[in-house]
Amino acid sequence: MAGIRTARRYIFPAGRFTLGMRASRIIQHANAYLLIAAFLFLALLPVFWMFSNAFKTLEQMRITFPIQWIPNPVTLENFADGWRARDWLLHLRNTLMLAVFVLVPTMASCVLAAYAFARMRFPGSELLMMLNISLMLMPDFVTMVPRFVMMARMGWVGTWLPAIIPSMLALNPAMVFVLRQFFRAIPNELSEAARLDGCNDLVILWRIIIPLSKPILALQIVIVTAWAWNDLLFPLLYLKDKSMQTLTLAMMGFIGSRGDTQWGPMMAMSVLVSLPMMALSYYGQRYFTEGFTLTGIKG
Amino acid sequence: MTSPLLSAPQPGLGPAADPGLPNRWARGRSFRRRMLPFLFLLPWFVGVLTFQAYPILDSFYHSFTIYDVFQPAKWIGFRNYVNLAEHDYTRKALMNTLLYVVVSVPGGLVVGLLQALLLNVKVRGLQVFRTLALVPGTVPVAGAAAVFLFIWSPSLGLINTVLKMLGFPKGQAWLTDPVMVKWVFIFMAIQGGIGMLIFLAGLQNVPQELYDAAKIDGAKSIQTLFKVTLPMLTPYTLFNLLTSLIGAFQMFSVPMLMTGGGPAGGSMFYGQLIYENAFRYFRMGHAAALSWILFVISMIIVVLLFRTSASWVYYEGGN
Repeated sequence: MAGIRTARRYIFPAGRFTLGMRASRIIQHANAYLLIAAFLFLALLPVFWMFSNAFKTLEQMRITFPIQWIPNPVTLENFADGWRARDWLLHLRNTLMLAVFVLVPTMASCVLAAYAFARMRFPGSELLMMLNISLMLMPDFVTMVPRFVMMARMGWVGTWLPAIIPSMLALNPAMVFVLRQFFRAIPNELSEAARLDGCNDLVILWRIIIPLSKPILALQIVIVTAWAWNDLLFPLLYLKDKSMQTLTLAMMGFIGSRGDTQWGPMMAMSVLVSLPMMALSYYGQRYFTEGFTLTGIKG
Repeated sequence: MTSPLLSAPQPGLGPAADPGLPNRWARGRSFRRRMLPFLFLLPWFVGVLTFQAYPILDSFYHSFTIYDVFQPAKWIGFRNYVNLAEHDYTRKALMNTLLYVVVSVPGGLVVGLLQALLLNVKVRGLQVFRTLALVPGTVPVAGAAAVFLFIWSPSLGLINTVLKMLGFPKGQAWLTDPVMVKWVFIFMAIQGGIGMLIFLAGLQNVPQELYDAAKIDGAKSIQTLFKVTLPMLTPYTLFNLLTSLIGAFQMFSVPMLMTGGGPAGGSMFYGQLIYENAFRYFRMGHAAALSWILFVISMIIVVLLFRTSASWVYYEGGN
């Protein structure tokens, strides 16, 4: 909102704000409104259709013409059927556990590494950062098989350790890179002042850098949680056991039981699985535009 | 916060320890101080060595072997690579993936840029529009796969209904046609997604002075777009290009969930091929060779991008 207010002040300096100008401004932006409306319509159509069909009976779904945008009458049958088909609370719990087990150690180790890369001088820092960037760009498939064999040898498959241990080792080069970009944009004066007051690097990191980096850290929380919600490969490899399956795997089994596809319950469960992510992105989006910076990407 | 580790003063830095300024600086660069960055980087180092470097070497070695995990690997030289080149399904998956990359990456980039520009116009209700624009991206992959199965369904699907209303009575069997099916996935991938957000973040970082200056010089808005906005966005364009390229080469979740790669390999993408070779048929050597081919192809593209980036990416201050 603040952005809009500043923009308005910029376009309408005090005293020149008249009704005529407001009207002309709406006309001037008519094209923008039209384009935004068209784009949002296209983008939101599938989502709307998912919601709409979640509340339809199978008979209502079969009527393809005329298109029934708003279901009439509304039924909740699909939610009841979908809910009974699987132990969704278990899968939700597993998804949240995966998110937390990956998020907390990754964040801790990546913040440390990013701080060293961004604000400390040491020989080879540029070279190691280049290595980090290359790892970021390497397809995961290259390391997927050997990692799986390693984990299997250690007997970790079917436990949470494959999520926890690599996360403790900053195994997220993209996060290291993005955090480092943000950290180095924080003015040096603050940390220098703290250093003269006798603070060491851990205190500076904890008291100055982290509080100032809330947008980017919030963004990382959103990204990792979304990953846990979406990823197919990791649960397929390591969390295959029914009692450990995440929502993605549960939904996958749900889709897989085709033949007599139960469209209604499928739509209903898609809606339910989506809702927490919608809430999360609503919370996360305001951080995004402040959180992401690429200035000085070169070195 | 009360942890002694956090509040303990650095030796040699505390004013009480040594009052003389030159002395303090001299001691500040003590051995411990010099080692501190490496201490911070220790988890990263260990991670790179154990879960990156070792697997990379291991996968490279095994790409020259027959290996099914249960028995020791057997060296067969380049046979995996030769076999793969000869096999139809590899070529098919590779072609599908290349087509997907070539169409959906630039498409997604342009769409993401347009969306970001649109959502950066300072109109009333901007925050609401931005929030709404993010909603499609929040539908989890599995949910989206279910919805799109329904939307593309030949008898019940929204697409065929709309086509019928527009005067194409003959419904297409989108997902059961081996040629059509890959275009469905390519088409669905042309969306702004997270790239839109990154462009939007980039737009916030274009200094207002540049727009003011352009205005004073009498630049038209289209000129401003091409001479100010787009050049200032180039670091973000490069980042988006790189990440979406890598992502597109590895994409396979949505097709695997929706069609399982079928029909007749029509929607078999490279990632699924690697996954199936490794974990369904336990042809680890095969899978390793496949991923190295992918690695080499994507690295060639990435290096080319980096090489050319100096000529089209603008870096403020150079650094």
